[in-house]
Amino acid sequence: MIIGFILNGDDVSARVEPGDRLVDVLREQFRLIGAKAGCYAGRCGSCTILLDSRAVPSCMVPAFAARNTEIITIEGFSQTVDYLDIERGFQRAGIETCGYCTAAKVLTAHALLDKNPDPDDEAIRAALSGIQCRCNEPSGLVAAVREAAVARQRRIYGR
Amino acid sequence: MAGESVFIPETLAEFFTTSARLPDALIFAGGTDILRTQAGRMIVFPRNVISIREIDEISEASRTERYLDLGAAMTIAEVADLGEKVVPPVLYETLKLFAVPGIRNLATVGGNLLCTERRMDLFVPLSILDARVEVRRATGSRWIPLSRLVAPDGRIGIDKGEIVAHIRIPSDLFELNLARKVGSHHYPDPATGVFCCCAKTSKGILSDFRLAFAGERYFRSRDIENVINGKNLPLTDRDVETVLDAYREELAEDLGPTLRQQFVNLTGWALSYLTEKGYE
Amino acid sequence: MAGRLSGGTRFIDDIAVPGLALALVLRADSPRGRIKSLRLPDLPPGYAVVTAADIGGTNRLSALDASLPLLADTEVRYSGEPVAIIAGPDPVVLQKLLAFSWVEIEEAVPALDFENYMNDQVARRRSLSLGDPKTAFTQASSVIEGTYRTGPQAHCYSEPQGAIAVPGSGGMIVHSSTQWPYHVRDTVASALGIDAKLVVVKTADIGMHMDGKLWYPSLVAAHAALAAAKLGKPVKLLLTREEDFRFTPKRAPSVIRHRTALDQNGDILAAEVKILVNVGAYGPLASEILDRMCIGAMGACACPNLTVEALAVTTNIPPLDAFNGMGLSQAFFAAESQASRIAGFARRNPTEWKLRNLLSKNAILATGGSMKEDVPAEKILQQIASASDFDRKYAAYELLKNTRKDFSDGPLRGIGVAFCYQGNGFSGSGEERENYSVELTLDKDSKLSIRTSANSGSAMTVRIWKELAGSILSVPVDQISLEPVSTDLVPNSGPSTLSRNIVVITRLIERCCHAIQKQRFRDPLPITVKRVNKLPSALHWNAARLSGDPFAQYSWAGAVVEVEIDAVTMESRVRHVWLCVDGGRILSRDRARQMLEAGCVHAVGWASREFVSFVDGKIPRDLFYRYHELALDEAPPVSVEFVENDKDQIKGLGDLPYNCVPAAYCAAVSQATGGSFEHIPLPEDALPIHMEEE
Repeated sequence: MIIGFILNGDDVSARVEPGDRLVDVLREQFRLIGAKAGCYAGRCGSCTILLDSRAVPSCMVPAFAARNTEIITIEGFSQTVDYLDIERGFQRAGIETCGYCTAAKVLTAHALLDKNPDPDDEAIRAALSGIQCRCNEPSGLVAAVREAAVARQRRIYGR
Repeated sequence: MAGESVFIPETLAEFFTTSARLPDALIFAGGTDILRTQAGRMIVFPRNVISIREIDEISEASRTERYLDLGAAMTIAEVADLGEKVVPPVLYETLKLFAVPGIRNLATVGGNLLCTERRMDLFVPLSILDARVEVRRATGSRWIPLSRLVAPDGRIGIDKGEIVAHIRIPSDLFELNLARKVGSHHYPDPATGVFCCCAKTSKGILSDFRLAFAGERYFRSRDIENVINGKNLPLTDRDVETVLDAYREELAEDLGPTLRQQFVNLTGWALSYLTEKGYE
Repeated sequence: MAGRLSGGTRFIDDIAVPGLALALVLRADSPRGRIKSLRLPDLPPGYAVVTAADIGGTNRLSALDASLPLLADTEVRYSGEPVAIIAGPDPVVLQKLLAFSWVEIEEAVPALDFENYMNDQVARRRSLSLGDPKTAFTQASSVIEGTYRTGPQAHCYSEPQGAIAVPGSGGMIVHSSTQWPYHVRDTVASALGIDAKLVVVKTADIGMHMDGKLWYPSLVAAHAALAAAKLGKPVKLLLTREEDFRFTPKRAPSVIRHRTALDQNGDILAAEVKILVNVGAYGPLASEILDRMCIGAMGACACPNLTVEALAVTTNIPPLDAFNGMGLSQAFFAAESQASRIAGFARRNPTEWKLRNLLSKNAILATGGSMKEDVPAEKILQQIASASDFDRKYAAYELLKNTRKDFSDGPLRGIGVAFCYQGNGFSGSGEERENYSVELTLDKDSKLSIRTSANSGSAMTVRIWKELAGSILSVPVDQISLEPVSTDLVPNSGPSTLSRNIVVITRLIERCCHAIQKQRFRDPLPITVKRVNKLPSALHWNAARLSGDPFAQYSWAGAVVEVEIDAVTMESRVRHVWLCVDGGRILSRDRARQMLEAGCVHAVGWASREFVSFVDGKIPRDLFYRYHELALDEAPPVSVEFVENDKDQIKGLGDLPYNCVPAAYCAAVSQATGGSFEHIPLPEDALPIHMEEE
């Protein structure tokens, strides 16, 4: 079947089979490789994308379910000003991610700040709890998201 | 694989037309329960799939003074977003313990209730809140209690051509609202269990006590609840022991030793709020 | 950094190669037996199957002293052993072909148990003896025994195992996610039966490897290369996470029995340690793991009279081998748990007991060599005890344990401490026996390039290298480049494991820089310098007899773990982990802190939750869905402190948490429950069952 959706701001369409996962369609048909096809079981979170502004593991979304949705991947998100806040936060905290889970962390951090501009440590840890990666370094990640929150507040409210 | 077809109705009317034609089709909402144990590259679906994600009529919540209606295709996150003031506390607490955020953004209320393998998280709070379920068919609708939606043996109480449209939660006020999860919070596991307890009091009397638990088995006993309903508050140690013994006996065969012990402890903990020690 | 943040990575699955075909592995579904036949469906055009019979070169992969077939030929030794590779363009078609393929096996009785092993299961045997344990035991005022078990752990590395092989002009280019590029090169060349120079291995991003990508990537690369050679097309072989979880190596589990003779004060007189380690099928790293377990048999305790008997046992389950801390972490768990048990028996504060019984400078090691360094035990233990308020909590929890009634008294609490070292520059079996080297060139416009096959996976490590070189040669960091790892361009720097990237590679870079610095005022640029790793000549080591000085230097750590057990649900939670480290000269505190914090979380995971089991020789499918690391909202807070010192030695730190946190965790759980837990991970029902019995 052919489905249409908005991908990183553009109207696109894709020919998909019922059994195709969204992550594979994004990676193979659109060459958007920031989302990793990690576990195909919704466990590691490495394939996270924004689906209608919510962070979801794209391996748990059959491609057909993307019809009429708006999808943002790390490639699209990194072109936005919102991305710069997260980037600043991660850089300020000086954390090193392995690269495999990174897009997931960035997008999840953004989705959190989108709903909760000033999250406490517990909220940050809970928001990132679906990303399983051996490079997870809890206090650094929490600091990174906090710094990102500060950067975003400063940018939007000038404080 | 080849030969499979997916249908995506946008209204309930379209859904009924399609499902009349394809009575054996798989109804796909959030898909998390179907996909979570398929770690191959391709998802294996039955021949026909009807996706109900785009049906707005069952994707929204509404509220009156007497109840809160949840669309069956609402996601867990959407329900949680209604907020603490709208969602009954025992349900709200359970939502916070539900899987991980990414899954909460996909899994739906209806899908969670209709899992046949075991009663999943939402079944417990919704059951003790005495929620009822609207089952729609092309020609009308009927309201049934949760216990008839899914029988203890996992049998689903809706027929072909029917769909769970809404879940209606009465707006009762409880003084005591407790929800706990044991085992893995993030992924369903045989060791996972959800425990909820609500209680109402009136004029120093325990007027409405409700308690349920879902692990490998779902468990709620109105008989035992009625043993302490009507008791004076605070409960005495003897009241508590009587109830605990009753649960111990009921659960002897139903649960593994760990979950059983956890359930009994949780029950004791919940009851302690109604004793001198915990009651305010 | 920004590139990586915005998705600019190059893992195996990210590499685009025109005309890339895919490959799947056909695996045996029986733990032991003889292959009777191989049934394969008719292949559509453009598809190919590779079996053992198609291998032009040698059907063998060598890892240290052991070897295993690339594809099972006649005999199958574990469920999941690769038998054939099916390759072709369409993943869906491949999946179907695989589903219709079948390996018929004449089954034999598998050896699944390693504790009750048969003689033919013994892959390697080692023993150590020191002093006169026999006499010492007769003089003991008490003898304490304990049996300690450690379980397997899944690496859960960033990307599953995978490789891409691109055939061309008589050779093969292989993209591999490996810690050991030259091992991949040699394995692929020998599989194809071609000269090693005709194979070029380029490393992909590796991310976190947890020592799970030492030799197995060579197997996957060989499979991809064989398929690519047969198909005449580039081939990608990438395991699914489930396949990887169930069929690739895990941390080798162990059973270690301690018998310790004590004097009237409860201090160690003598010990007898019996070690069994399960190395699964073929036991590819058995010798390395077993030797390290022997060396660490007493942990960091001094013991003048000692016997150690150690066996590596093969079983018909997937190969079991390295994970951070390889060998030492299992040995330390047992030794430090035994230490806690002894301190409890002697009614002594565990830190005070340790201070009397730990190694000190010039103490005799289990291998007969001597400790050449100061052991900062007192400093570390005092610092960590004060940071964690250990003494007060330990006494308070002992007291509370005896006075509690029920859950209304709140959660149960316990606290435990452990001490360990990480040995650097193992003089042992395989690690440094070849001439591993690094090469640097300072070119005419004063740009510096570093060439090493070390696959660091860490931007921070690369930065450390650049900053170090830059400071020695006064070259700005942006003028320094690290050559991409490609075996035709960089020298063999050995496997990136056991902190070698920091310890060995950094020192080689340093030596190259100093050499360039000397030459640059005499000779014109460009100057190229290559330095080969050498072990310090003062060390005496006899690998065959396992005697002498096993490590070039030591880094040290103490851990305190505090746990809380919910009195209602009987679930345990780690409240806090404190780690105090003496790691010599720390090149980047941030990097060290991050690595150690993550390590503490994984060590707690290993000790508490990361549960792998084999049923009929196979990890059951549902375990894949149940296995998980501690999530971010479950991970304990970790405090990392460094003991200040002015030494200039660069040491490895990464394994330290795995060597001390698990024993501290078990000691804490034991105190909280009043039980005695000697098995990691704690079996799922351990706490409830124990507490119910109470």
